[in-house]
Amino acid sequence: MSEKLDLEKLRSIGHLSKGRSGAKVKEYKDPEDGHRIKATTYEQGTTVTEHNTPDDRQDVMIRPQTIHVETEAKL
Amino acid sequence: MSLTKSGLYVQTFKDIMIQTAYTGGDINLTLATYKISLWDSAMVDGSGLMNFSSATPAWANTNEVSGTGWATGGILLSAAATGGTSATPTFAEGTTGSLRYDHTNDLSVASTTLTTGGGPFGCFIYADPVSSPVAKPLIVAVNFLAAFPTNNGTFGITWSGTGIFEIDVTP
Repeated sequence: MSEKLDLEKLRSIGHLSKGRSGAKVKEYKDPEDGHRIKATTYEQGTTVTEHNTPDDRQDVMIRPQTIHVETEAKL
Repeated sequence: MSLTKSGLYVQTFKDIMIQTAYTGGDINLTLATYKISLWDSAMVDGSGLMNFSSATPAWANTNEVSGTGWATGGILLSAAATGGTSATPTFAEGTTGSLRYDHTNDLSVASTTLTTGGGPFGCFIYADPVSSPVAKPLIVAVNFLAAFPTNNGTFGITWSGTGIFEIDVTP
């Protein structure tokens, strides 16, 4: 029998630093079926959305910053 | 130690600039036949696939994250947006004086379970159809700065309004 995954532990930033990372938590009910949803947005912008559903659905939305490749002019 | 770097692959961009002939088609950053794959926190800055100065920056499945809804090798850009539609890559002037690589549509893949290695810690975009002189050359690696697993859910990336990367050619 497989163990239930501990998604909180897998999510390294959330497990180690929730409360210290400036994460913002929003809890609400799904407007369609009423299940509870917890959306945590971390400092760098990534949002993890946990659904209180039988399958423990968890969505992730990453928001990376643009990689800027810059050169330096030397005149 | 956590990974800290995102970056572009020097050899790949050198080959673009000197028109190196590739088997499988020359590198063209606007092609949607390229893939995006995921990697975990076991990658090491400056080593292996995270060596941006490698002379042979070939994609490999080292520390790859895959699972339900996300195949080994990653997802074609042509099917990486909502509903399996194309992300539609672009390469053009963005910020004045800079070349911007971007996707017209953000990445959104539904019904994924991605937990191997702790979950996705970053992603590669690579030229999957190319076979030589470098097989599947890496273009860019993007670090998510932490592992973010999904469970029966949507894995998405909302790229910045200023693109995935920009190269400032007018400093």
